[in-house]
Amino acid sequence: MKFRLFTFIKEGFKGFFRNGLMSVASILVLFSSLFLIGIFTTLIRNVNYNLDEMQDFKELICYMELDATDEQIAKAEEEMKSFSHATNVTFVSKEEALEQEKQKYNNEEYKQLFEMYENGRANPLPDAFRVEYDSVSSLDTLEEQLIRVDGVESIRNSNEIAQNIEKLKNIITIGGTWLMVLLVVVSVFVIANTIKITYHSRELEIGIMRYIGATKYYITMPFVFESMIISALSAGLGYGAQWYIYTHLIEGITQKYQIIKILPFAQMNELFLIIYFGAGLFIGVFGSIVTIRKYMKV
Amino acid sequence: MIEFKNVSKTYDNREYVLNDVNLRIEDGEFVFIVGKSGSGKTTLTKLLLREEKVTSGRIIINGFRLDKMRSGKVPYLRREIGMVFQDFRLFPKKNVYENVAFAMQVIGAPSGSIKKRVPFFLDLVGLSHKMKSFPTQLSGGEQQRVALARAIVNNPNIIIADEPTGNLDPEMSKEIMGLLMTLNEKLGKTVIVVTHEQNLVEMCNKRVITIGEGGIVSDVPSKVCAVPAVQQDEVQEDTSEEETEQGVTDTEEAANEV
Repeated sequence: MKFRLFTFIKEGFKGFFRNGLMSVASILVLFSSLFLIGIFTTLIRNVNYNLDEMQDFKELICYMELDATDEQIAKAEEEMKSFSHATNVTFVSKEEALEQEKQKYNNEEYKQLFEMYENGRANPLPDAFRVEYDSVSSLDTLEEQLIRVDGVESIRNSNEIAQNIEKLKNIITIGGTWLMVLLVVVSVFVIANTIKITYHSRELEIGIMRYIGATKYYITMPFVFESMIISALSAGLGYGAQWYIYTHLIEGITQKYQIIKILPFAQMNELFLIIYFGAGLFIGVFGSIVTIRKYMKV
Repeated sequence: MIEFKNVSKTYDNREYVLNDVNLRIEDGEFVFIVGKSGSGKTTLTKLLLREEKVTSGRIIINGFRLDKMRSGKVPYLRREIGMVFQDFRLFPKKNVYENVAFAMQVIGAPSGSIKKRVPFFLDLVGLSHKMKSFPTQLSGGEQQRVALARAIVNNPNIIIADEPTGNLDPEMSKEIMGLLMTLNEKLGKTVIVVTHEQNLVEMCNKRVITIGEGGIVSDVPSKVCAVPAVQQDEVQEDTSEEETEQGVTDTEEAANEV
């Protein structure tokens, strides 16, 4: 069978223009679906990116005994720095800790309380060390080492937070993926519906083609090209809208308010191209082939 | 050659429309298939085109086993059969030339061959002067002649005409029947005409197969043919006998090119 690309493209365009309003409606619906997929991808990728950043903040707090001597503290610091998984050890004295608390609770309600400590009442906070570590997997080992250090009373870690973040990431990824699958299915139905209408409007023509010996391939290809035109236009429109919103709105807002960090568009571009043009064309081709095969009898 | 061997057909396992039908049509034969409405004529046509599958039995057409044929092969069978319908089934937005050319485009014929064959076959059916006309600008008889040209342009060995005169007045009916006779006698095509018009059948001295009660009721030649000679003259009115013979040779050569 010769590959009559030019004929198929021509017939695809003819079908596209012949269906006028239906083609426009399909473009708008497919554009909406693809755009929603794009927005969800933006959300998922950026939320995960921010959660990763949070997870990267790996730190333990080692609280010393209240009566730990300066000598004990110096020895403890030296020992902690010798642990291979500890990447950074910073001493926070009880005075610094009190000052931090004062800054944190800087209002009338707590003013009297902090004044009491300034007027000679004993500081209830212990000296402490902030210990940054290399990876979550080495956390248990490091904790065991730290608790054995002379003068250390207790340890507070962010492992639980890291685990919760991981759970949250999974929920967002799985939920988002399902939502995107749903949108792809909806898009396939949209294309299928357009092709169904086109098919019925051309039933006579197709019937004649079948009787004079046209193969299924020859009959199907113009429909495939018609839906490829719809998909390509929807994809172009969606990609353009995504680019505009991402670069002008999202990046602008986050730069101004610094609420969360956002991946630059360039880093998302490849994914957007795959979503809009890859998924768009897949939806178009798949939707049309399935529909034609369903309606076309031998 | 067309052969039906113990062919039965039932829809949804209900009553048999055709039951144990045996039939043989040789190459170059002209056959009428007649019968009342609901007798199974349409089913027989659908089986010939492999639009329907047999429930049991065997159908062979020009070496194709239809009962075992995969759907992907059906288009190639249909290229061996030229189909003419009662309602012409022309593309209203294509002109006469384009309607006939489309049948060649669909099977991937080269444009040179299309340019050569389409005018020849339009001339054969007496419509070379109306190539640019659209179906709505033609009479019923002319439309059916376009349909006939389209049916034969790919040089099929078999022509099936399903009630070809059903929408035509008696004069036009004779005209179309004359053309079918010409194709049979001059080009050696196997022609099967499915009809319920008894007077049309009686005009021609051809084989008549009567279908009824789920099978072949009778299979006999009819009496006298009153149509063909006149119609053949009309078809050839602008063409000498020598030119026609040359045209037939050209057709066969062109068919080989496709």
